[in-house]
Amino acid sequence: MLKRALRRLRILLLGDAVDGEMDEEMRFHLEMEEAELRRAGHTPEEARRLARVRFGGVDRFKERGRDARGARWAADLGRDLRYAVRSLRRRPGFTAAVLLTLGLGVGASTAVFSVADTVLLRPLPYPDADRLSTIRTSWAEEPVGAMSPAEYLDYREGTGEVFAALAAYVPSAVTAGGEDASERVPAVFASADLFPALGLEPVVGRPFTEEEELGGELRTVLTEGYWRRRFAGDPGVVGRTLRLNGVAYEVVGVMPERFRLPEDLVEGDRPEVILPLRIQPDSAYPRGSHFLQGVARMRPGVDVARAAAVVEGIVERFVEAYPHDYEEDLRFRATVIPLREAVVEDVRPALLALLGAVLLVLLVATSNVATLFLARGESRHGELALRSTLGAGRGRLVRQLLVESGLLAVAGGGLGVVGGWAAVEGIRRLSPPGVPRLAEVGLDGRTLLFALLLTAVAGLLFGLLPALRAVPDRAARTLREAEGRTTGGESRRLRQVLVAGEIALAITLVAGAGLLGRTLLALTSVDPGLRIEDVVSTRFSVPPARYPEAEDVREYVARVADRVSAVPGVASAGVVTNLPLAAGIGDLGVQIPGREVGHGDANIATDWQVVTPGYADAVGLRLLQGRWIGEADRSDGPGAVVINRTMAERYWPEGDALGATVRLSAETAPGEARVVGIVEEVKHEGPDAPPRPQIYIPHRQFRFWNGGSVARGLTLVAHAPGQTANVTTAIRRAVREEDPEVGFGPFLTLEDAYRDVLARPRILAALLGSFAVAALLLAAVGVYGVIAYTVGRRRREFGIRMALGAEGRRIVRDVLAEGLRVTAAGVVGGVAGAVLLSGALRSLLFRAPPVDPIVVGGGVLLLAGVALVASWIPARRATRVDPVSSLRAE
Amino acid sequence: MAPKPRKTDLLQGSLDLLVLKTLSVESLHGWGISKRIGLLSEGVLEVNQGSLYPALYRLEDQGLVESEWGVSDEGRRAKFYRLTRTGRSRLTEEREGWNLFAGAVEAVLAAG
Repeated sequence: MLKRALRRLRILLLGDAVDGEMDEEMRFHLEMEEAELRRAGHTPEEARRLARVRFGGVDRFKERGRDARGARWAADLGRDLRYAVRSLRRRPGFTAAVLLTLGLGVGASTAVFSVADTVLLRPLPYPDADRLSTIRTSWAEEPVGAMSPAEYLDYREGTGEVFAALAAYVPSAVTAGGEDASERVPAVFASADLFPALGLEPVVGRPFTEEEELGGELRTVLTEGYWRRRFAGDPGVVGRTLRLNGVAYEVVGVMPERFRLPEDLVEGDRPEVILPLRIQPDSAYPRGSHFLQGVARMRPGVDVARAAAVVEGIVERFVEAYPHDYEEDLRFRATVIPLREAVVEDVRPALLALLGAVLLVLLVATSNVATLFLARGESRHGELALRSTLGAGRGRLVRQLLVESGLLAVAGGGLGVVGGWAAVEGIRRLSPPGVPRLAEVGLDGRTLLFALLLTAVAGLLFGLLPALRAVPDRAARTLREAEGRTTGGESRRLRQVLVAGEIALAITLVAGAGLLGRTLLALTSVDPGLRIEDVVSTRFSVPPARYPEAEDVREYVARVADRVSAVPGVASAGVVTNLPLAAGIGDLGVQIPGREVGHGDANIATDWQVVTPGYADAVGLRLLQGRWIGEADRSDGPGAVVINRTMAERYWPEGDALGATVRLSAETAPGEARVVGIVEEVKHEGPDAPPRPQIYIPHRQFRFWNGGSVARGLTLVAHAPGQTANVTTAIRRAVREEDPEVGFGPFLTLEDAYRDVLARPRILAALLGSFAVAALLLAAVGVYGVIAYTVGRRRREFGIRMALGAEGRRIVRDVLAEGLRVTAAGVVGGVAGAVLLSGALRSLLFRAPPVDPIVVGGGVLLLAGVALVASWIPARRATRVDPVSSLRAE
Repeated sequence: MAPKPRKTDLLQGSLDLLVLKTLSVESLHGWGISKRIGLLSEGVLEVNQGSLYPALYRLEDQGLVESEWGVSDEGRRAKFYRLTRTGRSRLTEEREGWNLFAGAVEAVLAAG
C-alpha cells in the first residue's frame, strides 16, 4: 500500500522520467523483435516495419500503460503543478503579494483564534468541569465576588440538594519550614470540601476530611511542586510534621501538579500548601466581611438555573433577617454562575474584540487577494482563449486555474500557520498578566483545522471566481476582444466594490484602534491617588505561636515599621493590610449613628485598610482635611479613623464629616470611632474603578471578630526615593534583625503593580493598533494595485483620446475622479462601521468618544492620498507617452 | 501432425495469470515473457504487446511484481520483472480460481 503510494508520488514528481523509461522499454522490445525477424530472414527495413506493426500503436500503448499505472491523474496533476509554478514565477510581484497577504491573514487569525479557543472555549482543567460553578455576589450591580463566613454557612446549609460540594477558601501566604529553611510560600486556607469540589485525586495520601478540618490536630495537604522541592518527592511525607506560621501541622496528602484554584488560572501563583479554613458551623461570624471565595460542584442533573434559584432564595431570606448588614440601597445580590464564566468574563470582551479585529483583517486580506486574482484572470483572457480553441476543455482549464490558486493558497496558508505558531509562542512567552490559562495556549489540532479550512476556502474562492469569469464559453468572443480595448464591465464593477469594501473595513479597524488607544491614554492619565514611583512592598504574616496576644502583634508591627524607616535610603515606611493595585480589598460594614443611611441602622460597605502611621507618607496619600493616624492612636485611646473624600462627600454632603462618629461593624473594634482626617481617593482596583468609600483604621486599635485576632497578614511598604534596587537588601536585613523567624515574601514595587493593571488595555491597544496598521497597508496596496492596473490597461483608450485632441490633464483628472469616487464610497462605509464598532466595544472603553475624529480622519486622509497617487502616476505616464506608439503597442 | 489449434485472444485476467506463472519460474524482461508464453503454449497463445506491458504495469502497481533495470543476454539494458511474495500467493489463488472456472465450463459443456 505504501509502495503503491510512493510509486504514484514518483510518477507525480518525475513524470517525464517515468515516460522516458517506458520509451526505453518499448525500444528494447522492438529491437529484440527486429532481431528475431531478421534472423527469420527479413530485411532490416522490413523487420523494423513488421516489428512496429506487431507492437501496435505506440502512443496508445503509452497511454494505456500510463492508465494501467493509475498514473493518468497523477501525471495530469503533476503537469498542472509544474505549469502553475512556472507561470507564478513569471509574475513574482503577484505571487509575493498573494503569499504575503494570505500569510498575514491566516497567521493573525490562527494566532488569535488559538488564544481565544484556549481561553474561552476549552473546558477548565478539572474533571467534569461543566459541573463547577461559583457564587457571585454584587453590591449595586458591581461584582464583589466574595462571601462572608456567615453567608457561606447559610449557603452550605441550604444547597444540599443542588450542590454535591460547596467549598470556601481564601488564598494567602504562610511562612513554612522552621529554623533554617523558613520561606514564605503561597497558600490557601480551604474548607475540606474543596477537594471533592475540584475533584482532583491526590498523588500521595489523602486530603483532610471535614472533621479534621474543623477540629483536632491541624492537618495540611501539600501540592506536588512543594513536595518535590522540600521533601524530594518522598512518599513517606505522609505523617511528617511541617511548621506553618510557627504552628505544627501534620501532612496527610499531596495534590498533583495540576491542582489549581480558579484564581490561579489567571494569576499563576499556585498555592503550595493547603490549610484548613476552620469555619465552625455553629459559631457566629460577621456577615459584613466578605473575603471568602467559593466553588461548588453541582449534583448530576442540576443546572445552573436551578442552583441559582436556590441560592437566590437563601439570599432573600438572610437579607430580610439581617437588614442592617444588607442595606437596601446597596442592593446586595448573589447568584450562581458557571465557573468558567467567572474565570473568563473579565477577558472575554477583549478577546472577542480581538477576534473581530482579526476577522476584519482577514476580510481585507481576502478582498485584496481576490482583486489581484481578478485582475490577473483578466490579463490571461487571451492565453486561455487560445488554449481553449486549441482543444483544451473548459473543465481542464478551470482545473488548471484551480491548481494554481490552490498552490498559492496552500503556500500562503503554510506561511500563515508558521507565522501564527511563532506569534502564539511569542504571546505565551510574553505572558501578559490577567489573561487566564495562557500557559495552555498552543497550536493544537482545532486551530490547525481552522487554518486548513481557511486556506481551502481561500484556494477554492480565488480559483473559482476568476476562473469562471476568465474561461469563457465562447472563446471566439474573447479572441476578438484585443487586449486593452476594454477592461471587462462586470469585472471592473466587482473590483471597485471590493476595493471600496477594503477601504471601509480598514477605516473601521483604524477607528477601533483609535478608540482603544484613547482608552489607554485616559486610563494612564487617571490619578491613582498615591505615589507610584519608588515604593517597594513585601508581604508577611505575624506567627501566632511567637506573638499570641494582640499587643504582642502590635508591638512587633510598630517595631518593624520603625526599624525599616531607619534603614538608610528609606524615606518612610508603614504597614498596611492590602497593597493598593496589587491585592484585592475586602469590604467592611460601617454605620453612621444618628444618621439614616438608607433604612434605619444600615451598614455602608466600605473598602477598609488597617494601617500604621508611617503608611501615608510611604505611599504619598494626600491629606485633605484633619490629620492622619498617629502614634497617639493606641488601643487605650479613643477610636480614630480616616476616611476618603468619596465617603465624606457621599455621606456628609454638608461637609461636616470631620469629627463625626462612625461605628464599625459590631464585630470589630474599635467600635465607635471619630473621623480625624480625610484623604484623597485611592484607585485601589485600577484607574477605571468607580469611586468607593474607603476607611483607614489604626493597626493598634483594630481587631477582628469580637475580641478575636488582630490583623496578622500584612504588607510592609517603604518609600525609597531613587534607590529601589539596593534598598531591598537593606530592608530584608533589617526585618531579619528584628525577628529572623518571620518570613517576608518577595519584593513588589508599586510600579510593577500599576503596570500590571494597565497591561491588558495596553496590549489590547497595541494589538488592535497593529491590526489596524496592517489593514491600512493592505487596503492601500489593494487600492494602488487595482487602480494602477486598471488605468494602465486603458492606455490605448487614452492614446485614442489624445490623438483626437483631448488634453492630457483632462484625462488625468477623470482618472483621479474615479479613484476618489471609489474611496469616498469606502469612507462612508468605514465611518458607519466605526460607529457600530464603538457600540460593540463599549465595555472596553473608558472615557472615549463614540467616533474619534482625529484617528478616523487620519485614516481617511491616508487612503484618499494613496488612491490619488495610485491613479495619478499611471495616468500621467499614459498621457505622457506619444499617442501613436501607445496605439501601436497592443 | 495435428491441426494447428486456433489462436485465441486472451482475456485480460488470464493474461495476468500467465504472466505471474511465467515469472514464477524466473525473472524476465517484457519481450522474454511474451516469447516464453508463446513457446510454452506451442504458439497458440500469442501475446499482444499492447496488452502485455499495461498488464505488467498493472501488476507492478498492485505490488504483485517488481521491476529492476538490468542487462539482457545480448548485453542491452532492459527492465526485468520479478514475482513478489504477494504475487506468488496471488498466483496460487488465481490458479485455483482458474481451475474452478475451467471445471465449471467443462461441466456445462459435458452435460447433455
